[in-house]
Amino acid sequence: MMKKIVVISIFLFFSSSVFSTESSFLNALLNIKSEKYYKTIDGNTFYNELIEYKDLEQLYLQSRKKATKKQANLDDIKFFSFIGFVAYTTNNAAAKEALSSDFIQVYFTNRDRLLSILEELPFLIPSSCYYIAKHFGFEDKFKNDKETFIKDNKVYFTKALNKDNYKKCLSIISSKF
Amino acid sequence: MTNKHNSQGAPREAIFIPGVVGYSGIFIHMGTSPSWSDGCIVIEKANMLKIYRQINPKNGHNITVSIQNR
Repeated sequence: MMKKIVVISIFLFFSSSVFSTESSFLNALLNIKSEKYYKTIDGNTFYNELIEYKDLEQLYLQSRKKATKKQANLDDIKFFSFIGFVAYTTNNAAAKEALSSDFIQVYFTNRDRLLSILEELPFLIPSSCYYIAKHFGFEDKFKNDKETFIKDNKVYFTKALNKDNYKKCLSIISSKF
Repeated sequence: MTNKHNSQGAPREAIFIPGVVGYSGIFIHMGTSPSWSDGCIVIEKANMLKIYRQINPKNGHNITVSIQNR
């Protein structure tokens, strides 16, 4: 009986932490203000965006770690790509800048899995392909490598994506930002 | 983002700007060209450090940022 309670408690702990991670990004996407970030100083109440940002940043770092592991779980890659979608949609400048360096690592470690996700969930194409494109030239690095990347990787995109998705993603990657 | 580091390997200095309508995660941080930014304000490293060192305490909601077109 005791063993069952422990197992159930562990399950609830993990499911609630996953739920809270997902809901944090859903809140960001939907601009829902969480009660916990309201602060009152000297009688003035304000929404502490910086603390909210730092919490999201921690979740981002955890998610990046999982998604850039070799043979990463498909759901972990999906979730990291979803974070990218939220950052892109909400114009989160710092997160977009981080993803301009980090997202390509998911491609390099889990290329076929990532491309299969883009085929399954095409709403992730604009943001994901944007971050792949941004890698080339971000912070003045890898500026001249984009053409070679496209030439060498076109075949994987053709294989994994249908014609429309391929066209959409490749046109984003080829764009100058 | 704390995944960005300065030349000493410590998290890169940055000043957070809240309340920017239509945007989030806006910081002032160092950079040498527009390619360092995707919406943040980028300034030279020396100026960044000069401003950053003047802020005391850190995380204190104690600065006002004024942006002007020139």
